[in-house]
Amino acid sequence: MISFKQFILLLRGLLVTLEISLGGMALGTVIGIVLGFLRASKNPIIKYGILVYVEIFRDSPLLIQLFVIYYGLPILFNIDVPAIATAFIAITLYTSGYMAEVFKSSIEAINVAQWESASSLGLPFLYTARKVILPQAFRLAVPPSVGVLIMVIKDSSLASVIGFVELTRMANIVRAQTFTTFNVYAIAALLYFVVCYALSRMGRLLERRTLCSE
Amino acid sequence: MYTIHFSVIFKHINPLLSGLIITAEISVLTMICATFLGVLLAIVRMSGNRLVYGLSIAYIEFMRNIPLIVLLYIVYYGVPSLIRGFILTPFVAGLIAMTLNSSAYEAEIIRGGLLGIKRNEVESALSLGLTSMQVFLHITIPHALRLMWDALGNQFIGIILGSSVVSIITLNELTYEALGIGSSTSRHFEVFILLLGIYVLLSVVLSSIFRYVKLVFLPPRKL
Repeated sequence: MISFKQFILLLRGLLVTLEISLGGMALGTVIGIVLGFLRASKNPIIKYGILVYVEIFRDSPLLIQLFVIYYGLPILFNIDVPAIATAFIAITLYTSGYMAEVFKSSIEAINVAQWESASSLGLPFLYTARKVILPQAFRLAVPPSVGVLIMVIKDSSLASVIGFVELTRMANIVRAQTFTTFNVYAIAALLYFVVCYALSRMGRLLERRTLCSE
Repeated sequence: MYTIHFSVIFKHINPLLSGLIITAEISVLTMICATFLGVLLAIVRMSGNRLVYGLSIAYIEFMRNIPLIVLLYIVYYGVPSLIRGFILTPFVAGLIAMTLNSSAYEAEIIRGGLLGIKRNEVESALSLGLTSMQVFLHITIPHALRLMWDALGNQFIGIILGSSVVSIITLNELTYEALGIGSSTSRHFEVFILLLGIYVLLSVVLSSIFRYVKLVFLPPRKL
């Protein structure tokens, strides 16, 4: 069995996992909102450019995206990139692809008449997007966003492969110290489970509330 | 200054092709096993027995809320460490971990499809004189499949993308071969850009197949 000190190490790993996931999710959501609005654009270059962007990040494994950034940034820009930056960039881009889809459908779910009435009242596009559409789209976007967050927390475990010390990497380290393989990974799995299951219950609750208020 | 050269990579295309075959093998086997297990779990979950119901929910929720890579470590390193003399090959360990993971998702998809079948449609068909086998083949299966088709397609794409993780326990599939080519040519960046394209292509092809099959064999119902 592992000692209390090693359990604390795993908890610290969990904290790092949560930090990188929430950080990537926050920035990814901002990018996703912008892309979600731009996707309604009539300009074919913008429209199809965003489509390709979203498909690339949704239709390829996060592991490969991590490798591309891990090997790509140093040679393209001639800089040393720490593992945390690689992980953060990859998770942000990955999240932005999913959040762009979430916001695209939330924005589409809002009646076109609202855009038209706002414009007939003389409100400029950005003002309408920010003050009329976004507050409503946000409410619709919350339940699917919780699903994306759970996915990101689980998939952030892949950043362990490029040497970023989060929960999974910490489990590898503790395993090397103690030689108790099964218990260490089982505890790591349980920690992931507790966080993700709690979030999924919360997501279901929020979903029900959104449905009721419709 | 680094110049990007893809030509070097194309001299090493053979390992990538053999990796692609391993990726296809483990993905297809996972799809078959996970669908089989998923159907079983969905039926068990809908049964009246409270013990199996509870167990199946616990299994589904646990598998859906832990990362595949941790499950892979448990299966490949953890379980053999408990049992003396028990060793799994990377392929078998990968297949088991991916099947355990995907079956939980598929159970939920299949349950959704089965719950969507309308009782009155089955009863009308029976009252028209169809045998229960005919009802099952012509009413139940097509309806349920139509309801779960898109989600099932996404899940199968997820299986292909998820198989890249098995490279970590040294299964020589696509990602593992790419890492090898990267090391021998020092052109990791080009290899992984190419690999990104290959995975996107695989996803697009599979989702097109799913859309085509739905269009031809599961057309929307005319009322």
